[in-house]
Amino acid sequence: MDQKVPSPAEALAEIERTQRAAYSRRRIPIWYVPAVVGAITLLGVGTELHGPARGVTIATGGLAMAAAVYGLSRSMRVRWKARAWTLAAGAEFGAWAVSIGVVMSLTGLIIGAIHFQPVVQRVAIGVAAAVYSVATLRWIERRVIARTAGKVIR
Amino acid sequence: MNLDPVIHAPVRLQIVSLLAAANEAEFSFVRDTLEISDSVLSKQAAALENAGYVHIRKGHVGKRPRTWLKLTDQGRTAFGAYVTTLQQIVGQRLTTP
Repeated sequence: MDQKVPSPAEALAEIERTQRAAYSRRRIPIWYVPAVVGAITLLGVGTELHGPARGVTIATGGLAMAAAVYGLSRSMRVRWKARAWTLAAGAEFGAWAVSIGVVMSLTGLIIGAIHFQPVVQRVAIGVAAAVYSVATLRWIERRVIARTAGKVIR
Repeated sequence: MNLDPVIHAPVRLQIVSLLAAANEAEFSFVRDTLEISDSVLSKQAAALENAGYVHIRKGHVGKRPRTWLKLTDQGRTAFGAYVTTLQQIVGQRLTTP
């Protein structure tokens, strides 16, 4: 490895390049959002049930949510500083999170119009949200990375 | 203007630059991102630790041993001063949107 001491200009460029390289490796595990959506769906299905099945389903949903968060914390290799985000990147990621809610609402309206059972409706909403999140997660990550271009943390 | 010799070395500069963006980073993430070997990272991280700039924490996730690196307050202050000095020498600012 070349150990030549960099010139000041090279050092400045290296700082920016290194942080950009690190940002480009910032990835949410692909299973995470569907897992959270699945847990929320289980909680929703539980509220539609009665008797022992209600408590069991809600408890399972709660455990699934806890497992997803625990799994994420185990798989994360970096704890980023909040200021590693730019306002534009945060806004775009927030808009994407809201879009998941929009997909769930639209699916609910469409399924509701067909008069399926409530449990079937909730499962369909969950599946639609999970598929949408998986299909768009890497795309939104690329956009977020692009929105942090030029951001340098001291 | 003198540049901090602890930071102003190619690999250590990369390590500190990466850690400046994080609260804490796993050893393997730093190694993979900088595309350096375990031994090079260990050696340079130890030098930064000896200077008081980096804290090295060893732990486990499940049964797997993991090592985490983070900039100390002293290291973050030194890096900030280092960047300021660079900017004064070069006469330009890093882009910060």
